[in-house]
Amino acid sequence: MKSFDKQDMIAGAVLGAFGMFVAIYAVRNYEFGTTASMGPGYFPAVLGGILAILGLIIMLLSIRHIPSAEVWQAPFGLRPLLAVLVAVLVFASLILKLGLVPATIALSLVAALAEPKFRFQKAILLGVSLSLLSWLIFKVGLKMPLSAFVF
Amino acid sequence: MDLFSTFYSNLALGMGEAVTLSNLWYCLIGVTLGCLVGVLPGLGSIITISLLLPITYHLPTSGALIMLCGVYFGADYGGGTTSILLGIPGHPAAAVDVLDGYPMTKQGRGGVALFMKTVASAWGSMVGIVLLMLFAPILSNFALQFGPAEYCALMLLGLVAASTVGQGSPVKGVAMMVVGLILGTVGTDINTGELRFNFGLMELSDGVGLIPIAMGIFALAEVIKSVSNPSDTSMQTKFRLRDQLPTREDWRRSFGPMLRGSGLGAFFGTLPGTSGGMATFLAYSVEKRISKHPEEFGKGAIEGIAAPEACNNAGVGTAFIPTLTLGIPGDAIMALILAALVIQGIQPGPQVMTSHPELFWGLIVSFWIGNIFLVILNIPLIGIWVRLLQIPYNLLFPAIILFTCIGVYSTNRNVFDLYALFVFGLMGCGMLLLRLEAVPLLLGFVLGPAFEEYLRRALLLSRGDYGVFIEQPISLAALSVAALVLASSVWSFLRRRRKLAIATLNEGSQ
Repeated sequence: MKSFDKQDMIAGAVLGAFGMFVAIYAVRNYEFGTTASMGPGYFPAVLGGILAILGLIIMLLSIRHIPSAEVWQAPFGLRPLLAVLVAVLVFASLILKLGLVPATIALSLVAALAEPKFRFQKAILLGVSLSLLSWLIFKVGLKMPLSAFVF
Repeated sequence: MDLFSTFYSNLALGMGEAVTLSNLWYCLIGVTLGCLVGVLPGLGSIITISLLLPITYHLPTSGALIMLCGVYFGADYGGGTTSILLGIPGHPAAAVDVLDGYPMTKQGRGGVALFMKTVASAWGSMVGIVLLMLFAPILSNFALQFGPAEYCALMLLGLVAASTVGQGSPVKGVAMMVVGLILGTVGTDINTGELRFNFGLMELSDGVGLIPIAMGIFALAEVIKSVSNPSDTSMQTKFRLRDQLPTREDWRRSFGPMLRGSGLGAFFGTLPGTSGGMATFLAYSVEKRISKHPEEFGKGAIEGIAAPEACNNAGVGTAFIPTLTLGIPGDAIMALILAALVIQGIQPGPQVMTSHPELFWGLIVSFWIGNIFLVILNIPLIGIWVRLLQIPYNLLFPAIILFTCIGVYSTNRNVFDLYALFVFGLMGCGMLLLRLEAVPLLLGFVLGPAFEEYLRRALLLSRGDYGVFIEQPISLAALSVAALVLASSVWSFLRRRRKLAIATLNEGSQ
């Protein structure tokens, strides 16, 4: 009875595919050169090839003769993942258009969605105090060129 | 005598650099911040140093490095505190303190454990720094004669060693290191000026930023993981300051373990990739094996605190030897400290000691000062650190995300870097999901450009003959050790896996 370690199978496949892509892309687009005088494509092409082989080895090693008792459990939830990453995107899109304070408040609001219980007032309060804190640290303290509000 | 007088004048040079009001201040900020984040679970020195990296653009060179190194030392002191008092390690290297430290707390001897931990840490740091002072100048003189082939081989040794010591499969570790090397090739090729892997984005012509990578795969992924698994860190035990003093018996029993632990730590600290717990567990098991009363281990033996802590801190000091003399970092933190050097416009390598002696010696003197600060800070402030643990994570994590974003943005005042942060945060989560390690990737990324450069130069000089790496004795030795490390880690991984499989099979048949 054979089984697969799903985690390693997917990891190997992803890494191997990425390696193959890098190798092919480098060979097609950049000059390979010779070993004595390497072109820009030599190093990435070789690395891509090595990674493709390593990916294959990881996939082969993922074949188990005995099914593992381990259950594959994601180390994080979908909700925190989305909330944290979207908070970064929101901050990125607001920092230049509206300024530090609105971007910070928006970031805190979105980030607060990561928790199972969303409390609007608490998130706003946190956002306001964080924007004050970051304004004091980064603008007043470290004199970084950030504007609190953009109109 | 000559050696002694240069040593003395170097020390004086370092004193002049480190003992200025502003550098003392940076050192104090660094160690205090380090202690703080070491105490808070889920906030380690890697995250803190990557958060602080953008700020170092605005600081003078020595101040920036003194502060970052202070964080490293401070987090090491702080990390054990929660292990001992709550049974929760602040960072992986402090996990071994849980074994005997937490039982001691339950017996009402938590204060003694903390005191001994501080003493052992200070002793270990002293050993590490003295060795750094003695060996760094010798090694860097020696390294100045290295050619590109030697560098290449040494870098490969560092990369292989660092990618194979992790918890999981060494093959996956090496693969992640290769991914890091590939990420390092993005941007302008220095030899031909051709743009590589920029996919039409001009923002990528200088390459992918280290700060978005480090923050994305460490800080953001860690935040997402911690928010998903809220842990209850309420303080159960109370202790008083006067209960902290060890008895004469405690001192007697700790003396030998501290000596042996610091020796082990100093040795392993110089090797790449061995920091982060492996050496401390080794020091612990050595003490257990040679002890006259091994049955006390795990139930509150003071030796179980003294040896790993001395080992850990001695390793922190000696880890700077390859980093500062060869420019080859042994772990992620050292890679970030090298990155801070590059930010300041200093190319890491053996020439740092001759071209910037005031920086090197100033840094060493600041290590002494930092450790003195830490001993002074730690003993009276333990109560405060413990109270800080009660800050709820739901207030802390939006602040971490915010500081990550501001840090990334302000590095180049570029919104593109924030989108890169998003991408690497996503990638970090994917890596957590597939149990791929982040440290080899970061090391590969940091060393990649230099590695390619040395490789190209070595093969240009040898007219394309790969034999050059075997002909030079130093490079042959480095490559043989690398092959040995790789083979032994693959072998032990396969054996461990087979054992696990047999165990599950037996369980299944019962």
